Amino acid sequence: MALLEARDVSKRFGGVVALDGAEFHCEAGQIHALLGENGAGKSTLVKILSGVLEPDSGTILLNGQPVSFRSPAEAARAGIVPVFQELSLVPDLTVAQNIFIGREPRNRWGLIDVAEMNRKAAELLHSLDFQHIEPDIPARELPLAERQLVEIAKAVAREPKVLILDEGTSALGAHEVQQTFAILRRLREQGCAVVFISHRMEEIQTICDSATVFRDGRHVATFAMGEKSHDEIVSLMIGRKLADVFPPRPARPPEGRVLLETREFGWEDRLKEISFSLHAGEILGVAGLEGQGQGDLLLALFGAYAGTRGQVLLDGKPARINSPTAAMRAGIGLALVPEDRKTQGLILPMSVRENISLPTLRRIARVGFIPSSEERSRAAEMISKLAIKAGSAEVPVGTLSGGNQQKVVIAKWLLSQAKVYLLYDPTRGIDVGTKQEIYRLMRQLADEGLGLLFFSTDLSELVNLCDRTLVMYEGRIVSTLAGAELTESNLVSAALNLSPQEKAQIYV
Amino acid sequence: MAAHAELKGKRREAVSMSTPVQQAERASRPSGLRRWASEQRVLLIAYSFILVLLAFAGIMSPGFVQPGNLSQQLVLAAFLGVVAAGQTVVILTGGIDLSVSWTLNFAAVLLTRITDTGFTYPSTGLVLWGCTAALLLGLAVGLVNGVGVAYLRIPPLVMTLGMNVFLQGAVLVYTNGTPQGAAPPLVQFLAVGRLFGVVPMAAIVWAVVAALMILLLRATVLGRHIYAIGNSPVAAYLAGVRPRRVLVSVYMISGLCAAFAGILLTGFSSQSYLGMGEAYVLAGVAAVVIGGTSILGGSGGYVGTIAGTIIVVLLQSTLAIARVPEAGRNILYGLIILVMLFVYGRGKKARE
Amino acid sequence: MRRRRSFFGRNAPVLLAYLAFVILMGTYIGLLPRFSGAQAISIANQGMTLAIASLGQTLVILTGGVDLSVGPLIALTNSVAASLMSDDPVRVALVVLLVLIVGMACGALNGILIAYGRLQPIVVTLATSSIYTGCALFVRPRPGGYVPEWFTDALTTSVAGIPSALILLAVLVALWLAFRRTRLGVSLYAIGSSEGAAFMSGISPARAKVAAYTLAGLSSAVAGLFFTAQTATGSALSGNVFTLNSVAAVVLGGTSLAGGRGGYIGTIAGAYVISVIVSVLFFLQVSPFYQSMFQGGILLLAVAIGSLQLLRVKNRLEVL
Repeated sequence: MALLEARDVSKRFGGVVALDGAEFHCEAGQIHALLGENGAGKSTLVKILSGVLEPDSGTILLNGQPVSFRSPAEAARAGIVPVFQELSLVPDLTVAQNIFIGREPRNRWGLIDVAEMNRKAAELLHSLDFQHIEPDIPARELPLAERQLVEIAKAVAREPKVLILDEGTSALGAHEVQQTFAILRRLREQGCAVVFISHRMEEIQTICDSATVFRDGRHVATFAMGEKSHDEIVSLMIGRKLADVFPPRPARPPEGRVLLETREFGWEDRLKEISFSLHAGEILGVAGLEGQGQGDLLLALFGAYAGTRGQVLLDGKPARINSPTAAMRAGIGLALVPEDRKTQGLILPMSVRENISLPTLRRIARVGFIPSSEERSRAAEMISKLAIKAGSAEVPVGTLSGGNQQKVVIAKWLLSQAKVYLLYDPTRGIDVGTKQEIYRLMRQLADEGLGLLFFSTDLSELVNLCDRTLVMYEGRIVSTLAGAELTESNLVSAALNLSPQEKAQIYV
Repeated sequence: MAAHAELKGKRREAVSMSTPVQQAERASRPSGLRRWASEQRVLLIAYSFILVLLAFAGIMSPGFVQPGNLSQQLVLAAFLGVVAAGQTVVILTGGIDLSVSWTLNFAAVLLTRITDTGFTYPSTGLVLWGCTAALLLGLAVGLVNGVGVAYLRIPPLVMTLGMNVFLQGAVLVYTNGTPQGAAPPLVQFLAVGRLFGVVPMAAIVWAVVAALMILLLRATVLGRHIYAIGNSPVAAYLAGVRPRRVLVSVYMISGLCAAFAGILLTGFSSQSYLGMGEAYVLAGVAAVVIGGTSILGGSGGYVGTIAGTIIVVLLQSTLAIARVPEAGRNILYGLIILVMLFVYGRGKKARE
Repeated sequence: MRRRRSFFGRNAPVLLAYLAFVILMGTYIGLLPRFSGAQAISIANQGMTLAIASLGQTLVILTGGVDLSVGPLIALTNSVAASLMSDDPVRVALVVLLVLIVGMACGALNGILIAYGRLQPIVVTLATSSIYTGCALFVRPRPGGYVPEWFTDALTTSVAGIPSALILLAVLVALWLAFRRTRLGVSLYAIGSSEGAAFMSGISPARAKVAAYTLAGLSSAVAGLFFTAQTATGSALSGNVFTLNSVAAVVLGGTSLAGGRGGYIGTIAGAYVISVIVSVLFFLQVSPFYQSMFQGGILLLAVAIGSLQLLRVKNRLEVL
């Protein structure tokens, strides 16, 4: 009998269907992978299983008994504990306070015993091989990788029956991944069920016993590890052959005009001595573990950071960019498709038209007034050019699906006629169909002579879409891969800052 | 099944007969009375409430709904409406301006001091200078508020509160405890005069302010930027909006409105006195909120504030007619604000 | 790769607040012809109402909200107390109990509207402040009432030889230090710091908020009782100055209006800085007209200085 099971679970958000009659089950004493592209419904399922969301329909069974959780606290009490990427640590509380939140040890007067709490936290961290993390530091002062480790420690401290890791290792380096794997194996021996979500196939093949593949909110297949090959798994995930997904790359990497060049570009201790060139017609990828400075690089280039070091040249001329407005206006123009389209890329309550026209409003304005017919026609032009599916240009952009929202983000920059695009994981959380449209659009922009700097967490995108890829580690570019060298395997080694031999020793 | 297929067929037909651009343009025009009504729900509720209040007042005292009294209510509403205009744009950015009361007062005493020529009437030039000085004062106060909020990141509540207390002292020092001078006739005319003997000048002034404000918010780049900042400063910033300039602008507008209201009130009371502006802070915020503008910023507008202003003024008058004691008036005032907030719709649950 | 802050870095605002307080007190004591114990008690009493009321405001602001009904609640409890008290100690005890319950009920109403009604704290407490003022006016349409002398003495001079002000301050600090170490206390910090993370970690934000506002109502009621002892009369409109001053005290004391950071220790300093300024100005024979200018100016200066550290932040997105 399965320890945890989901039957016929459906969930929609507004007009978007996240889960459509999904089925899932996992056994005690097994590490079970949950695979699927971004937007396949994995995170939604996890949130339902752990009590963060309620399903619209369907049943969840724990040990054969139907259960319904009204809050994460209830699910945790039942033994289901999730570890998300970065969602449950309270920034201003210390590591120890976060680990024991709601269950703090108390002294004889009923007050929290801080010394005891710190001691127990240190003990726990030590037992998990995380000794270097100090328990009395506020969580906000820890680097991303350490915060992930604390999240894992916090989950383990609750003695879970089912531990769900949703991309919980995305920022961890090789050593920390090993430590985490040791913990997971120990939990497995104790009879816990572990659900492991990651897009690093090597990790999955190393640690997991079995796997389930989701696609478009539905269950596609469940099998034991080893039964299916890597390519078969990928086909199950994307539902078609890989070759059909990406537009063809030009045979030789472009070497034309240099649109963007950085020389010893740096910021604080997050970016160090970054030097690279972006040519017209090139899609330049940026890869690496999460939190190594990729996002910082894009934001710093776009002017959101003060105090940058080094030089940035646009079209060969030095540029001083100290705000997004300056970035838009500097010479050939920069555009940013940011990390979180909902809070950084779009203003959700405002209409599609208003979002599309926002960056270029001042350009079409006459004496401060907005010519409304011109605004409308420009928006309509973009909507049709990018095939944005929306009821009308006047609906709030928050009602659109993820893919269409991302198209709106791109549309607003198309109007600005920028020549350099900075993209942060633009296809995260978007359905396959729209993803392909975005890939084609990116290649089209490159063909028109634009330069794209493109950070992605999806290795196949970096391999198949990019002409070259830079790999970052601790704020530096540690390698550049192009042509035949640009493979997923090499990207992973470079990201972990390992040589291929070292990597082979760690992973299966 | 068949009907569904039929509908699909119809839509496909209509779609294929025009170019994509034409389709998109057609789609961008709203359709249907129902849809308009649901979008304007808040405004409809606010304006309906005005009718309810008028009906109630009319029942309690038939003389209330006579044109003479109604136009007097309009005049009172005009002053609050001007203050609330500035408050609206500030609240739309997610802030609040608690300095309007003493900005108003300072502008008033400044005007009357400048135009104080003893027993003779001040020249028109002097009156114009007095008004200009008062308005410049409002702009200066707004500039300081804006710089504090935008550049020093001082929370608006604290910044404008501190300014208010500071200005109170400044007024006391400037007037030495007793404001001098009287309202010049020109200013009095603006406040209590009537055009062609019928239409109150104050109402006309308010109409002009309202038109400017609505135009600003709906048709200008600054207006669009105000809504953008109010909804999401980060997304607006990354789209090239300059949040700091927008914030300084809205606080300057609010200061200007408060000063202008001070000029008008001076005309209305024929003089300036200490404490003129006290009532206008909370009443102004109430007018904005009752008019449907969210205190968090990003949604609402001056059309709603107009309704909110009229509601606040009518409420106060109605309660006075019903001879409700001050205690009851306060309680009802608070209850009505709460009820309106509930009716407008609430925030999101933690879970979703 | 993030920098770890030192003790001074993390607690800078509180330390600055106490520095300001020490400088101010030093100036004041220097100006007084003689400084005696009675003077010290007088200073302590001057700021006591604000200090007590600011405890509740601190709790609310820690959750990321604000309570604008503090002043009217002080006025309401003041009005009720002055209207019902007599010389009989039993009756006074009952009145005190009644007043505390009223304070908690009013606070709970605020909390329920905000947490379960999902309305914004600033507008809810604005509306309820109007309601509570109305109630105060209902109880006391005109200032007056009776406060027994032994009650006044007990709270403002001494009890069994120990200065009451000292006892009160000690109790307040002890209560705060204990509260900070309760699960409820930690949960207030949690929801102020990140309501989403707190919810994921099993805290009920709604219940914590209701608790915060209820305790704020209680603290306003206690402040109102002290105010009653101080002024020996009841008045429905005299509490208003405390509302914004309590917010100012909390901000001066280093608690962030966004919530999640700070605490009452700093607030006490903030409350006394505000109260002592008036006395200092009086002694410097500054015309009372200048008082407000100084109060406003100093508040702004203090907050501006506190904000200067924001200028060091290099990620512009964080200071939007």
